Amino acid sequence: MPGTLAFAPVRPWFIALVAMSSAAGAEEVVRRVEVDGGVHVPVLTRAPSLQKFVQAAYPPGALAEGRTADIALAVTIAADGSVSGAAVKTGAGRGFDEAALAAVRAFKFSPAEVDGVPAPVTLEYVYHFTLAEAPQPKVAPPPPQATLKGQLLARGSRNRVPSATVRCGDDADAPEALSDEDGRFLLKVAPGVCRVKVVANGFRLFETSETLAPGETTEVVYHLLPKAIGYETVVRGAREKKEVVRRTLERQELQKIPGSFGDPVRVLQNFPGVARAPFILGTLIVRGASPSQTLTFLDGVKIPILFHFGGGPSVVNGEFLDRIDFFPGGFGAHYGRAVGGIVDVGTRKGASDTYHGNVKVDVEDSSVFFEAPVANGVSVAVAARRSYVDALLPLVLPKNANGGSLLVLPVYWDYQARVDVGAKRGETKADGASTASVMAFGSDDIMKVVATGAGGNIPVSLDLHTTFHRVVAGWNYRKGNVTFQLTPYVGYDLATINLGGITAKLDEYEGGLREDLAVEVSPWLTARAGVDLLFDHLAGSAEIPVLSDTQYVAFPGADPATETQKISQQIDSFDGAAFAEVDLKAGPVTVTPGFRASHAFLIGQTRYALEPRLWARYAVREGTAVKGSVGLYQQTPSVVDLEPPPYGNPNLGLEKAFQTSLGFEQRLTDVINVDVTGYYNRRYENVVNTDRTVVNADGSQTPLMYANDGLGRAYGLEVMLRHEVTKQFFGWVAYTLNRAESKVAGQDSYGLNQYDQTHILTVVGSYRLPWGFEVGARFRYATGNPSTPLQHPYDLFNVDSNSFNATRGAHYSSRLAPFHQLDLRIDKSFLFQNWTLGAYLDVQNVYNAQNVEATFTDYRRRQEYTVPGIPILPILGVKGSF
Amino acid sequence: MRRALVLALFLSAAGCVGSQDNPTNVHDLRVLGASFEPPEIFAVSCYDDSALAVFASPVVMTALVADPAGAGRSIDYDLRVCASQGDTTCTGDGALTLTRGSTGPGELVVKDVPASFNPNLRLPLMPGAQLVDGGTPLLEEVVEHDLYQGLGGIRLPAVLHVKAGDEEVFAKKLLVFTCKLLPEMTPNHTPRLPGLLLEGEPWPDDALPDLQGSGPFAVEPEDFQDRLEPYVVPSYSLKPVHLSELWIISWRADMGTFSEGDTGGTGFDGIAVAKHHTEWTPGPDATERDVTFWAVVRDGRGGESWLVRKAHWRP
Repeated sequence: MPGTLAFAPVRPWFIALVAMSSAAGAEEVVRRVEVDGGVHVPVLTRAPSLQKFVQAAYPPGALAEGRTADIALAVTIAADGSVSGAAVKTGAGRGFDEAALAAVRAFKFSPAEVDGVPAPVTLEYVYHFTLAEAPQPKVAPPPPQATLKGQLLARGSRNRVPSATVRCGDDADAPEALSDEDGRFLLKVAPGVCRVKVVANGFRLFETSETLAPGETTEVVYHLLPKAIGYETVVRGAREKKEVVRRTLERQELQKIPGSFGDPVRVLQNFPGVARAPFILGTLIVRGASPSQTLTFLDGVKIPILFHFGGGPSVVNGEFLDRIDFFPGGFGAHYGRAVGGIVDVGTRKGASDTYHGNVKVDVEDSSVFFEAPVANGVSVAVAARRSYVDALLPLVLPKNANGGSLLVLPVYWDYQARVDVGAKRGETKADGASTASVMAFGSDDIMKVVATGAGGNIPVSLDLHTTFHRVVAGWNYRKGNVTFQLTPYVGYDLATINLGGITAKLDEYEGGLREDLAVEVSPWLTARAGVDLLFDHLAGSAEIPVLSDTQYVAFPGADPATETQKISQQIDSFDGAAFAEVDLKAGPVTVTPGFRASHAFLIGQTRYALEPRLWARYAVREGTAVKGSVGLYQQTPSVVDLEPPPYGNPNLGLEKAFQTSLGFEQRLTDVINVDVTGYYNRRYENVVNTDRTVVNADGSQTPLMYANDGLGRAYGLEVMLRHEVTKQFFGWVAYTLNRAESKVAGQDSYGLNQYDQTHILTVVGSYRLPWGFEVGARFRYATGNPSTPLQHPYDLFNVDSNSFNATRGAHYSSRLAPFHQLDLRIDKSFLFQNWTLGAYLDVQNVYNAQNVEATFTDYRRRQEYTVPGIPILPILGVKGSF
Repeated sequence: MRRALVLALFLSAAGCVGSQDNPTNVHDLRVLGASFEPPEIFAVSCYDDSALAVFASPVVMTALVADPAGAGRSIDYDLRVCASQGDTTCTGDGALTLTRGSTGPGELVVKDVPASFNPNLRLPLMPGAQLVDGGTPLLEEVVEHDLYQGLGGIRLPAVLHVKAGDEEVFAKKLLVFTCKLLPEMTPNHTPRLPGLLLEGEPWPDDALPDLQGSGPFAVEPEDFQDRLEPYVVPSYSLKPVHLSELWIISWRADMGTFSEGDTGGTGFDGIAVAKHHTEWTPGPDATERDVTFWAVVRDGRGGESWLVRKAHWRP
């Protein structure tokens, strides 16, 4: 109909943050460059909103022809809210594309924030060119309107769906509304039947019909079906990188790796630089260092164990995880007291929209997780787990043919609770405001073993109990370019052992304080400094027999009756450290010199440590960087090792390591990147067992038990080729070329140490199929551990101990057979209105490889036999979440 | 549960992949025990030359050699001493061969050795009097090599080397030389079992009881609690450590197996005392024959002896 032509108002048809595009060119447009090598799951904490709209010039030709068009654009918004790029995704030609581009490039948005920091993002914007009707000579009174009011929820999780467009009808000028952060919308429409359409990024198109009465309000709740069930991370932001190597995994990657039993922390073992642990143990062997030299933190506080029973589930519920930072070496001055690597598990705030939770049940344990906002700016999250394997284990333990009984009762539980005050999750605190949190967590492991009968002449009873509790508070303050963080904490550890007639108990109380201050002095200078204080009181008591070889020189094979003795010991220790580092940026080069100084009081003695560290990074070009580090690292001996003789050596000094690394990272495609890092670590003055004694002037002797005689070095190359999470696929290839050697001071040359594995290859991939299925695979290959070959030219019988000695070749001159194993996993999600049922089948060692985990010999040491690894092992797990 | 399953699978697997050679079944050349008499050369003084004279006292070495499959063949042997306890064959620097010869299965008794200057002249076996390196007392070398420099007694390694056919065994025994560092210290005496019980009945050494069927047959020692000796050793700080013998008996047979190869001693807590009870089973492939049983007792401080018994087994 002829009439006045005018532009229709251009509406924010929808602003949706797009997921990362796949290599196959899915609908996503641009994703952020991954410059963050660490384990962190970035979260969009503030969505951008359109602040300045610019009207596009209607193409004259199209106007004359009465044509309309919808132009879909991918708009990249810079960290300051300006439009830094725009591209047409779905164009219409005839001048529409150019006009839309010109207008959008002049838009101004409020800055998006990722992890609370302004960050560039990409969104999809649809520019509508519509023709307005010519004005009617007589304007009829408006008909009475109806109101459609409602809330949009994600089906299966009840997550609120913001920034979704709700329309009534298909017409270009049909009334529509945009849902707010709580998923709520309000739509004024003409009475009658409304064909509702809801369009939201990441969700399938939702359509329904509502009959709306004039002057009345109809309230609805719509459950939108996610396009990708369980897909959580939608935007990645730039997070400044400091360390040379800090591995990062998406939350998706953390939870769906085959062979990890769905335990996110176990995924650490698939990184470069981490040697394969035997069986399914959770031991972290990082760059040839002993497991005790890699420390584990939870929210910055050291915890004594990461896994129940050393190889069980991790002691923190996976739902609590916000990030895992893994530093195989070269970590910053923020961390200390370790000469190996660092694992720092960070927890997250509770939900800010509504209550959520899940219940996990399997044949080993059950766990619950619950999170909810309880007041404005206050959220709570709690989790608990308890095993019941003690009730089921007797059913699968082999029966003793001689009629004896073997009772093995492992029990574990853990809990976590966190309260946050201040900004909600996904919200940025105002400048000058504070946030605070309190996190309490703990873990308890009990192992009872009772063996009786079976023709044996003595019953066996073992009762092990370990527990720990921590309460960590946090206060964060940010004003301008200054960030301040204070983290006081207290903890309690308990370890008891009852072994037949032996009893021992160790109570450990600790308190500490961390303070971190960061100041962005200028665009080229950022300074960070802090203190790290730790006080520890250890009270040990035991009732044990007189210890042969520890208290007197025993005769081989001696098995005398002795008196029992009561031992008690109180040990106080304090370790105070201060650290500082600055980021100096000069164009593409960033240099970070750092320094950490500590002063420790250990059983009345003092130890000093000065640890200079340096990192450098050169961004050669977009997507390419060269990086390197060098630093000194020191670790305090265990206070137990520092006990007076004959149990320890109070003169032990700090263990030390000199760590260096050099590498580069290259982005190959939008979603594929490679990181190659070479390293050389030299550890020295390490604490090792010794049988040395000191003869005193009166003829008495002092056994040393431990000495700083250990020397070690590790060098190699780590390669991480990674395909990041897209809608259908994620995966990586991790390869480590490694050499780990050690020797005792005084020896001429280095030899392999027990952790050496020359080649370690891990290939991981997971692919999402239709209908809520997801399949994944993990293949591992590792060089066999060093072994010392058995030779048998003759029998060597030790008459006194009634045992045979082995004749062996050169120490660690051979290896166990290489390890290789394929694990598969299939996940299926069943989506219900308000909750989701997830199930997985995780099959370890699919082709039943006969791997060798250890060897043993016959009693005369004539022949060697192998201990096999786990056979094919299917595990089924089920989890319901809401 | 998965870890429990893994544990169960591992236990099952470990039980079936190992050797079928049971240590209680003696089927080839073995040295089952060796002893010195006296088991400990004890000097009452540590601080004058009288100790050296005592340490040069003669001893008798007896070894229990079994060779069931040898059909009475000749077994070559030699007896060596050396300074280092790490020298498991006593073939390193400073090692001395005291005697050599041939013997048959059973007890090998070495009372004397040929004189080095005249092989036809036999001298008492005096390991503590040996010299090395042109005159250095061997015991001095032993102290030099000892991590504890003789604090637990001077422990002289003696190795009996036996060879028959292509079978060869080096059996190392420590001969202990002690001086009285503490007033409470007393010399060790050889542990001797009063006798054995078979199915609860006395089992004299000249008896040949009949055993019929697949068993098991209970075997245990006669009560010997009154023979256990209390003793004292010095701690590193030269304080007395009071200990008491807990004998360990090793049960062996040339057919079948014992349910417990070694009985007695303490549990792995070092406190609980284990019983002496074991059961002999002839095994599925046994045939009617006389069976030899050995019970070797050790007192945990170098003393050792054994009893030998026979029985006739039929299906």
